[in-house]
Amino acid sequence: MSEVEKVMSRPRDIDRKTRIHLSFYDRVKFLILFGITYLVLAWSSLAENPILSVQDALNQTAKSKSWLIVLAVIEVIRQIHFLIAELLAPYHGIWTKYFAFVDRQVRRLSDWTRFRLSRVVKWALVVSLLAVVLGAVYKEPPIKALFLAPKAFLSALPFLGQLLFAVFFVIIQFGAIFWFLSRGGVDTYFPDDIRTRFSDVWGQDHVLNRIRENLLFLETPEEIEKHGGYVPGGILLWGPPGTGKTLMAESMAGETGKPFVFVDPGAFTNMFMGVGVLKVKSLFRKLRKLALRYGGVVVFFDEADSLGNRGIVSAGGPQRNSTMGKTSIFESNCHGGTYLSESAVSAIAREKFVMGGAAGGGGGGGMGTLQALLTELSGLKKPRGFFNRVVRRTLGMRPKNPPKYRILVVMATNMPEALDEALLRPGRIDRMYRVGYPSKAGRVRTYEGYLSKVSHSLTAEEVDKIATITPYATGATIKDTINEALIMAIRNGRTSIEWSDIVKAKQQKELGPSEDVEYIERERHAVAVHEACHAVMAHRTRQHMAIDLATIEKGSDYLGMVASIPPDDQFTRWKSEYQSDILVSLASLAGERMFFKDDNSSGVSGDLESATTIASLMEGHWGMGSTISSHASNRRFEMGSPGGGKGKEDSEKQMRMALSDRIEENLSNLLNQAEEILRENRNQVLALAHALETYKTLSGEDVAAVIDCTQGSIVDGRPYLNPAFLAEIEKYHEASVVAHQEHRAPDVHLPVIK
Amino acid sequence: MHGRDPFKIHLAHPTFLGQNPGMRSSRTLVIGMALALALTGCGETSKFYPASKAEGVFFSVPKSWHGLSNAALNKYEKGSQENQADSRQALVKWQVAYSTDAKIKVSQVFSLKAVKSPLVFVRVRDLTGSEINDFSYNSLRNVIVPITQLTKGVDLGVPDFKILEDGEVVEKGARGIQTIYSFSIDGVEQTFNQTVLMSNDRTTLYILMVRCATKCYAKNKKVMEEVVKSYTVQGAK
Repeated sequence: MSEVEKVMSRPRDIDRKTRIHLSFYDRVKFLILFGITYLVLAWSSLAENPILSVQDALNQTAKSKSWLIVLAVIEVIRQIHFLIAELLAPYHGIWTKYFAFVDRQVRRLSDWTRFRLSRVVKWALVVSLLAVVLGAVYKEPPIKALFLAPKAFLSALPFLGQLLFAVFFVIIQFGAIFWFLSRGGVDTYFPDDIRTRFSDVWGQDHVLNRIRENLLFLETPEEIEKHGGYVPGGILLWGPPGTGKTLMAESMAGETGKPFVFVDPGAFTNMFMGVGVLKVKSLFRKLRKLALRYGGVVVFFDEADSLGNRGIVSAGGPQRNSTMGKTSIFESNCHGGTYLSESAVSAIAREKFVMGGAAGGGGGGGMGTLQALLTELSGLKKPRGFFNRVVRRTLGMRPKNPPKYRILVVMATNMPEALDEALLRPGRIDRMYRVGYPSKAGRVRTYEGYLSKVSHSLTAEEVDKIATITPYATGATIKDTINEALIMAIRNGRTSIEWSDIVKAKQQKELGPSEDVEYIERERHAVAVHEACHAVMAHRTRQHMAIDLATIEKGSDYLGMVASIPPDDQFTRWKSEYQSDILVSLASLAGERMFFKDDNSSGVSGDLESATTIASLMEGHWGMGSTISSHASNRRFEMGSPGGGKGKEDSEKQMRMALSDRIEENLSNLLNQAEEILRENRNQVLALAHALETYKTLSGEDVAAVIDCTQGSIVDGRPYLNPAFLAEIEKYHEASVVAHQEHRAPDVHLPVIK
Repeated sequence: MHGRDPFKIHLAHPTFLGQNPGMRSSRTLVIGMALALALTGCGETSKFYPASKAEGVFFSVPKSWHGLSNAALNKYEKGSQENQADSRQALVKWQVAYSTDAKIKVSQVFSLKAVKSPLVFVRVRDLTGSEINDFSYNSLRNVIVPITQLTKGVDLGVPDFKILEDGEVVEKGARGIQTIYSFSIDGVEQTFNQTVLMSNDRTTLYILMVRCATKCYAKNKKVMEEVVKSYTVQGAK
């Protein structure tokens, strides 16, 4: 057996048969203290009385300060008791058993009762000490002196006032300022202060169910603790803004029978170092008190990202693009961002921004605040309190374990990657729930909820439809849309919301107000053809997205647009879908070249950018190209991609060329395909362009009606079946092309449907 | 190579067993000190140390003597029928009396009749405004008995008057005259040893009077002089 194995770990107090040995200093320190006190007292009486002899001074002091002797004797007895307990195991055993018995008796009281009792005892102690001191001062019996004190206090008040004033001026620079600064930012709500209930949160039932579970455990922790488990102590709610995280917390506050402490996001942002730490400490002191008193407490940190992190972005944490800047697909003339699917948009944005987006950490309340919070959440479980730590130990008892403080920590953030990794570990934050965009059912419920508060004439089908065409709506945006619709209705002299109000409000919210710019005719036609190409391509090739609207009304940052939405909640993306995304993007270039005799505008730049990005990702990342290996890992391992060059120096260049060649090849194939499709649908493109020029904005239904030549909700597509009318449109187009080439007004005006 | 086991080194340092020589001597020292303190603290004081810290007056009397408290003396004085008793009493700040006789009465303290056992009387009182202006060393001598008149031969019904000693006393907070004299009342000769001091700021009068019948005085001279010697006036703080 090796030497190390023989070394046992230090036995626990509970395993020891005898008391732990005291050092000699610990044995005599109080006696030394009493001895010194005695000498000091004797010396002071010597100083007071010039004729006193040393011997008499010592004797006199021993007599007049007999309490000191009493204390010394008690100390001697205590030390003898300890010494016996150190040497004789049975003696120590008896005492240990006795203290265990006392503990059992005491534990019958609830934690809160014990806390109250100890508070009473503490106050009684303070008052009696005060009485004794005052008694000595007034030379009266202590109780009487206690009643004399207020009078003395009153007469001393002016002096005290002066003193206080002086002290204030001195101290305010340090203590008071810290004290004041460490106030605020924390609000406590007691049960019934808040009326919000779980039934007020719509469309997040899965998260709510889990939260309800947490609250249940908070109410009856024994259920899990008696089986050896522990109550999950922390929840993180994360997700996009406006999805109801705070509302959920509010409803928790309303639902639970425990106090609810709301921590302001700004509470830990301070001017001075150390105030944050003080705040965290005082917050948790308060929480422990509330937890004892009410048997549990919920604390909610809103915008928990304000707590900051220590510089390490949690690896594998959910990637989000909330700080995304403008990419050219958003500022392009026709909003690539609107007709692409959400995942394609986020892929493009991520490719552009997240690369360089290594957050430098920081933020939060400054030095030590986060660390203090981390320790408070799961630090050492140390014995607390003066009585526990000092008095019990003096009596030779073991300190009690701290009571179980049942604190449920809830944090909400929309930037979970900004949180410190250590904050999110189990034991601190046990459960992380994504509060995502509400499901369609949730959106329907939310629309119904907000619509029920206003007067409206929407049918159930219409509510279903609006919920379908607003896939990324959150509680906040839905509330806003309904309110906007109501404003529109009121402006139009109605008090009841109609379907058209909702649609208009939605458009207004999504696109912003149109700028009411009248294009010159040839440009109007060019924009209309551009958008019509997108729309027809989307209608023909793209099954996973539905056109929401097409417009050529100029907005703040676009000339026109085709907006698409997914008709249902789908979570996987397929090669065919991405290909159709690219086809829709390339349709503008193919169309402009085809309709304007190989001319094309710069308006396709955004389309090309998104098409290229998606094609690159397909080729290099998603296994949707001709090779299988991932460009991401190729890049990480600095190796060439298949088909790359042989030479060392040129390998990267070769790899890039190989990759970009393949991408370019794919894109040109798709461009050809797009051209072919558009050629087949030439009439439909021109018809749609005509409809756009006529109506400026078309809903998805109307777009489909024009392309398929049927009756839409507003626009009738049937006239476009008429070959004579189509010929007229063709003629107008030819004239516009000529006008475009010669930079003048077209000879033929826009044909009008009879 | 087998190095020294750090754990063993650690264990071979048993502080609580006191095997370290330095530790042993410090233990002896502490225990010795404690014993010395305990022994000195257990003894009885050899004297009483009556004192008025406020007025800065200290003296000591042997433990066997018996005291009459400030309160008892004040009470007696207030109860007396004499004129101006109250206003005189109001000037008194502290007074105390001791005697070897356990049965000594308060009235005996204030009477000039001879006592058979040594009696110490100490009084601290304020001077009135006129006294402050008038007081001379003669006035100090005359505080209890009109010594000046008696030395001039004025017959006041106290025969055999003679001054045994007379001299100036300078204390830290006061100065004045110590006079030892004797006279007879009712045929018993008695000796007074009086020290009357006036504070340096001339506001307070400190009186110490030790007296006894002359026979008794001769017998107890040593102890009575010790009392006078212990008399210390530091003056009010």
